Amino acid sequence: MTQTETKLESQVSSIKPLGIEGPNVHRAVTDDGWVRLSWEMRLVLLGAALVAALVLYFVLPEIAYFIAITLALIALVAVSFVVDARQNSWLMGGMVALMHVAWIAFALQFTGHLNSPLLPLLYLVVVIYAIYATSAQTGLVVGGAVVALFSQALLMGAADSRVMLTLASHSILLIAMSWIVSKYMARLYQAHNTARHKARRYWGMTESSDDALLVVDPDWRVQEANATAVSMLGNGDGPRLEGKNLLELLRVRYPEALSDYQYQILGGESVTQVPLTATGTNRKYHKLLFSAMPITEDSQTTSINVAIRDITELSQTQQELKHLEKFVAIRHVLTSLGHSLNNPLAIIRMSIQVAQVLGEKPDWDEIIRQLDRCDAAIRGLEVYTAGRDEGMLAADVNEVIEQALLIIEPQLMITGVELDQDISQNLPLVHANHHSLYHSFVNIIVYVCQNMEEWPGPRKLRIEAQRRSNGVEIRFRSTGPSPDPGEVPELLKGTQSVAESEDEFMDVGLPVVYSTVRQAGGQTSVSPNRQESGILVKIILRTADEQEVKQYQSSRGSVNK
Amino acid sequence: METPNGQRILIVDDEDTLARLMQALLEHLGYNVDRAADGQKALKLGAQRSYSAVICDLLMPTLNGMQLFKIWQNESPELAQRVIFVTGDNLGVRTNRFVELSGQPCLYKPFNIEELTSVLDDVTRVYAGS
Repeated sequence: MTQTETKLESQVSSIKPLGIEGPNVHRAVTDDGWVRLSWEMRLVLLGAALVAALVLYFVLPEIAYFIAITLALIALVAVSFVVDARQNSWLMGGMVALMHVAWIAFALQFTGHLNSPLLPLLYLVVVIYAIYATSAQTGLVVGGAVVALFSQALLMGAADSRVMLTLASHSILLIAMSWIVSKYMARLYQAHNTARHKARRYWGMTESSDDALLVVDPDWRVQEANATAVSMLGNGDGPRLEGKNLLELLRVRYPEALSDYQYQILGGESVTQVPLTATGTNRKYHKLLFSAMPITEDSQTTSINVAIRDITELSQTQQELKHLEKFVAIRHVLTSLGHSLNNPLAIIRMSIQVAQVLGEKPDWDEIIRQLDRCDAAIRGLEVYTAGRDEGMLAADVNEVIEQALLIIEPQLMITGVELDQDISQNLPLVHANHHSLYHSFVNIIVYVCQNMEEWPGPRKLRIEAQRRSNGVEIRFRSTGPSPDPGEVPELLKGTQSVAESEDEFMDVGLPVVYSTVRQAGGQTSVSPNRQESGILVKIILRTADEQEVKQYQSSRGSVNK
Repeated sequence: METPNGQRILIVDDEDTLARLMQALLEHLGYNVDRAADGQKALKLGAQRSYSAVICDLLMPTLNGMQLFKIWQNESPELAQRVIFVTGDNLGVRTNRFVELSGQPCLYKPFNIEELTSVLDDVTRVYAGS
């Protein structure tokens, strides 16, 4: 799960469903209209009402009463259809209450107990309260119904058993309906509300996303697409992407690159950030990252969620950044080399000129010593720019550190960095390419020099190399500003294009170190220097095996010959 | 070039060979020359004697030329004004920025003796005039 997906999930899960108990249910109903009753639910209610009316017919066998009650029930259900259960609950409550009043009024009329016009009015108040309570809490509903029943019984003196039966059946129906409303509808509302919130949130994120987000069917026909997808893939077709084949729209440069993934996706597996090159709407090639998550039901893929990120500009910027980093690294190395050459050259020139002025012979031995210094500096540059010996998989850490310092040590002096070394002299050969490791060490030293460039405090670099149980641990401990722990992964792993850069000489930066060491099966870590403010870069490399050692020794033998 | 008239010069450089060569040249030209291999020693000598000019390498161990110059700027501003920097870090941004801000002359290695004597002459002339 990506970071965005995790964040999204946590946002969605933070939406609290409304409780079905207590005033929340009432609020749920009245705040934003009622939930639409399903057709099945309406039919159940209608059927229940008809059954109740039929029962009443046997209790109170006046056909007019039966017809009146039935018509009232049908009217109620019809009203619920027209009102669509989205209006104020008071309207629905009022309608139901009126039906109840009509029901009781008819019963009283046919039994001859309607002796006061105030009676239905009084009952209306009680029932309205019961209906109001219906949307509030099941307990209140039951209470309201019981109050209604006993108030009627009290008002009518419980004189007629038929009236009592009418009231009882009416109360049971009221309680049943209330229960359904308070439980079933509240649950429906919750589901609806949660879905609506999710839909709104997802819609907002989807539409504002810089990624093209699409839902396609298993034949890759677009079902839904966001605005970015339309602009990325529309190609003059306007917003009508629906129904078009996504793979055709993408115009992938190497379709076979995607074919394996198609099979994988249709098999129910997700793919994440597959790099693709495709023709954009401007007919230029774009670098894309393609992700797809199939949605399956009963082991069948019903749709596929697709996200496409255009990284053309990003990779251009990364390339530019990489060139810039290279330029900076080269500047450091050249500065270092310049310093390494200028000192002996100054001595050579001064030796000759002073000898001329003094009328003496130049000190040729001194001049040769200085020429050797120049030679060593040039050799350092040659090592730095030499191609990689891919076959070589063993390296002598001592030698690598020595060579790296040869080219970069003057830079340490220029930057005012005090170098301290604690390097064990009996280290075993490690499993790593000598040249890559050399570049890694130069990169680390250049990096820490850059990090210390504006540091007002003491500038120190301590290089430690010690034998460990199964290899060698090398530590570059420097002062300077400490890295933010949150930035360490990016600092170390860098961006994708940098980490996956082609092998070239003078790759730069800590991501190259990470990549090199990882390829050698080792570990790299960057952390704040706990001893002082600064950075600690730690590398652990395993010991080279016997065959690698032999290969190393034989290659060294041939070099020495 | 005017005769040095026994003016005293301090050479501060960790490159012993180069310092010796400059010393030999300057003594031949009539200067009195002291040498220091790093900034700390130069600091001591600067406190003990008066110098017409200081030829100071910028990059040295312990106390480097930049640090030495800053100390002299605070403690012996007159001596700081007689400093001639010498450096092999011709491409260093930090070095060049420092030299520019200091306002002092700088000899970039490998310099020739004409450049050295010319700059030295300028600095010592100012000292002689002050």
